[in-house]
Amino acid sequence: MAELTYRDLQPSDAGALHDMMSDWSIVRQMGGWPWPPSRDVTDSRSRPYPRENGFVWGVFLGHRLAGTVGVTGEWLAYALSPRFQGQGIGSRAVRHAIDQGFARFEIDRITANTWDDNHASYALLRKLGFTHWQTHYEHAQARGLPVLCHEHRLSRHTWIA
Amino acid sequence: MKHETVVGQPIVSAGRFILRPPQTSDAGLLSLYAGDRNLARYTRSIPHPLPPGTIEAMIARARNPDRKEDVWVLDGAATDHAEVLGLISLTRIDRKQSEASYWIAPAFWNVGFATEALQSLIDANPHEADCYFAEAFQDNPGSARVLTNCGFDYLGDAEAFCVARNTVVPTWTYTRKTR
Repeated sequence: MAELTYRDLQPSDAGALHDMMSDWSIVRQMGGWPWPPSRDVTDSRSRPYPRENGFVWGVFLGHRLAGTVGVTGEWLAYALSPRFQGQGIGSRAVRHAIDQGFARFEIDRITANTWDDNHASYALLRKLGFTHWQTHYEHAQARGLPVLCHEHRLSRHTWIA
Repeated sequence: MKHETVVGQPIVSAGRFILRPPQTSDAGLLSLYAGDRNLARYTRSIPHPLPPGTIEAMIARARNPDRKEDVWVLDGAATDHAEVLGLISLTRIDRKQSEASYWIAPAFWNVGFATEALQSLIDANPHEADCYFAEAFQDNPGSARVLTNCGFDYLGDAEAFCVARNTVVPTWTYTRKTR
């Protein structure tokens, strides 16, 4: 299985990231990305995560940007380009991010949100040991309306076990 | 009485009371009210029994310049009501959007204080929000009526964890646009 590498996003990644974030099937499942795509927003995210309480990495297969994954505070977020879906890449990247999140930061749990219609992401989180915590409405920026949002939690204890 | 100021948070006049930022001297009355199980079970985050220091910590958070949630005390002292009648808060959740939440001390239920507080706060619109969200537990229809009285529209069903009950409780979510 091809090896994945992870590193901070850089301005030189902006083109590939913008391609990925110009795909409606990706952006509609994100919380804070705009639609239509904005190159300014992409440029602003194509740099290392600026705070000390987390990381946001590009996920690379060879030299190609396959997606992004990050843990900021106790929040997990990820996106995978459709070209790289269905190959176990998302699962490996998210697993790696959780490992690193618990190893680097003194957090007792990691939390992730999924929109109500994102069954694939929910299945991935469940496979990794996340359990449903609560459900609320949240404004989805790309969709421009409030969407039912499920909040899932994974405790450090569960992950280590 | 001179009220302590909190950065970026105005005092709002609301008919029978004013809405002002919490101050350390409110801890006693707030703890008395929040310690009531009949109140805690209708909130997401108030534990029951109420651990010592919970309210003091809430007040400290509410006075932190980096806070995400602005909290106001319903203060009726100027109109011969109790100095603390309840709490109402706005939390910034996204661009130009905030979530409203509130509780009234059980001794003052069913006299319209919550409606008066929420309507006054939305009229003042201190967050300059385009849209407000709020939710009510489905076993607390009185709270939902406050929202509809203030012009909120039903959005859908969800569920929220209630610390006092230690379980997830079905909720109704409401929204209101301001412009």
